[in-house]
Amino acid sequence: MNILDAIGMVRANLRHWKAAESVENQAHPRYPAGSSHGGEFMSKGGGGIASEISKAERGRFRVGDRANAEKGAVREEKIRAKLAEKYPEPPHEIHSQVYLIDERGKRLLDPKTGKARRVDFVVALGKKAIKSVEVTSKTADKSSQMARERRLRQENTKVYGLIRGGKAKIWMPASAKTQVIRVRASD
Amino acid sequence: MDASKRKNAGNPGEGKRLKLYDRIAWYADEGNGTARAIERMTLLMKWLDAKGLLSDIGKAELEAGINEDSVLNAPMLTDRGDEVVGTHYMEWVRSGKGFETFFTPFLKD
Repeated sequence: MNILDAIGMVRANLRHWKAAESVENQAHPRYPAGSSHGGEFMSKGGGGIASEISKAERGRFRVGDRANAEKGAVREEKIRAKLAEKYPEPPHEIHSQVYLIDERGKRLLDPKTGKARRVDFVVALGKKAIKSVEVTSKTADKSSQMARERRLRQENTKVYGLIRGGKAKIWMPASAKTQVIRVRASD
Repeated sequence: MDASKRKNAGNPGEGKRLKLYDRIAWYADEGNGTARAIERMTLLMKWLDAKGLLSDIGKAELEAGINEDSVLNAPMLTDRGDEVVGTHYMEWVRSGKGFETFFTPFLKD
């Protein structure tokens, strides 16, 4: 590397550092701009300034990700409202974020990937699931999650769902196989 | 409101609804959004763990590894974690700031 290349690299790093710093120094809702707070976690590991900037950047949402977070939350609410309308409580119960487990309450792991499976919404009647739903956007690929669930069901004769923050379980019969519902956040 | 009601993990017929703050799957249609989201949630949860803000459920989730099915919800946080992170999560999302910069001031209350 010649001297001009080296100077160019240093300048590029400085620009990158200043850009990251200017975003970080925008006013916090609780603290004025430029006030000193935090820093100890990102400083761990001794990776130097470049490493700290990199970690700080990974820890923030890009513009596209922010929009997706908001749309995702909206989609989730829409489907919950639709399910609640179609399956009123009582006698139904709508559970969210339901892990597939075995009879003893242990998470089922996909024999191929070693991953567990969590379903977005499960409608239960008594101690039995009657509907299982995965909510997603119009374009997201859900084939890997569906394949994982298929393999888990093939490997296990009786599948349950973990509900109420891990405090109870319901039976998830094959008839309650998960259905993917695609929703636009703006629909 | 007591902790069990706030965290929505209560008795049958009451408080079945889990408060959901984030889901990796929300980013699946945003280029390499899934990979970025997994990395971001992993870093955030490690930080929450270091600050004592993860519940046993949250610690188990972190230990099992964050993947495309992972979420961040209220039962994964301690009461204090839920108060700090849960309450201000969407503010953080919109802020464009790193999580440590954003959440640390709230820990000082």
